[in-house]
Amino acid sequence: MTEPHIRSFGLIVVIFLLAGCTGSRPALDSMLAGTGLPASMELADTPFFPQEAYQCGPAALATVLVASAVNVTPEELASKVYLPKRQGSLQLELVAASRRYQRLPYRIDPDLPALLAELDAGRPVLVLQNLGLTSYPVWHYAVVIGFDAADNTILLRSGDRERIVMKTGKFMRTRELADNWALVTLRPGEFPINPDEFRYLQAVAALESAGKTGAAATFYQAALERWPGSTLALFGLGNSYYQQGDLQLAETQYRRLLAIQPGNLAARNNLAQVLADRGCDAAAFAEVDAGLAIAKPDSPIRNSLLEIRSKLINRPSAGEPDAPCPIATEFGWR
Amino acid sequence: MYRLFARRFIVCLLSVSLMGTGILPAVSVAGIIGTQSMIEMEQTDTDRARVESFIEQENVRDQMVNLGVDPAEVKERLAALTDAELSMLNQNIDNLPAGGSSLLVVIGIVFVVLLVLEVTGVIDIFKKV
Repeated sequence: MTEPHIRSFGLIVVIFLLAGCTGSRPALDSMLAGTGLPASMELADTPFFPQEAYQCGPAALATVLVASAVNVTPEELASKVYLPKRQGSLQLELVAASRRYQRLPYRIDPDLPALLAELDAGRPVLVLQNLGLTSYPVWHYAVVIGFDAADNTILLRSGDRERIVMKTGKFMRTRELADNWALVTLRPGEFPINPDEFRYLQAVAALESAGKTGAAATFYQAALERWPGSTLALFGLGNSYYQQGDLQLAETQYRRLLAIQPGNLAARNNLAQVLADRGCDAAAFAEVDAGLAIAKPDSPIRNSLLEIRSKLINRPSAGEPDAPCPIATEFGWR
Repeated sequence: MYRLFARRFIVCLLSVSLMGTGILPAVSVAGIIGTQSMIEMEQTDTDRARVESFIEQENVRDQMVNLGVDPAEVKERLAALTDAELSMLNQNIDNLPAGGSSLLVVIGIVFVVLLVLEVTGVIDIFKKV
């Protein structure tokens, strides 16, 4: 007995709410064409941790971390990523927690073939899904473990279900509503299938700043093999060695960088600091002056160079001749 | 406007009072410029960023404790974040997606949708209720 206009209002409301559902998507097999990926696969060995209450974040993160050879449980991760009053976990905190286990959290490209390529390389992928609506989001983390082009389905470890089979279109919609966010946790020295150099090195720098300098050094070294002459990788590697107290190897990296890019002030600054630490005052002064000669007046590095200089001047040993100061090289002191 | 002024005032005050004391989180070890700082240096004035990040860290710490995180855990959780990430949390901690839902919530939504349809008369499945 409802008035027709109320009825149509209801329809409009529902259509509005479900707006994200419409539109057809290409089937999985057409997306796989030309990628060289198999038609189906499943990382059946991927561990499974059933979700407790609202804790799909710790469960999903534990799944990918254990798959990348970290010995950890969801219970241990809960205190590192769970926000009790939000009844959930933030993406940023999953990223940060991965660093605490010396793994590199790398956000992979948004497209589905990029995600499936990671599976093909043996890495399960942590995804954020919106199981609700744009206007009423229901955020959920799951781990993709496989796919099947014949059935047009994606396989997931999700919540308290060990193996969910989801239609590709539905899976893609839940991801699109979550900005296609997908994460792999890489072991030291490992790369995603198609890494973006800057994004990768930025992730390594974040690992380094979280204090994991040993793992960071391994990632930087691998990056230098892949992208020889990357100044950011050389700089980061030098800094990682410095923080581990290895002045010789730190100095070597700064020198390699400056040979490629003599105008790199940050490297010049850090080389000066290493030389000062070694007690090579004359050589340190020379680097400071070389830096100051090209530093713009408003450069923040100018202040740092001046600071190093004033520390050199105020040293108790200032003015005394330096001990012998060989130059650090990859092959030892020269 | 007032908030902006107050914020600037606090930043200035803290800059002056903290700059020389070594309380600030170390962006650099001794005179070494950190990799993260170098990446961020292009966009920001580092001294200012240092003070802001100190304030942001305090803010996020409080917010996380309010959200039920054990205060003893907060420090280590924050230490694994970069300054840029801290800043994002500071501005957005209440709005960023917090994944945690189970499938029950989804069933709840389906129920709400059906209810809307029922009430407006598009469908008629709860007739006997």
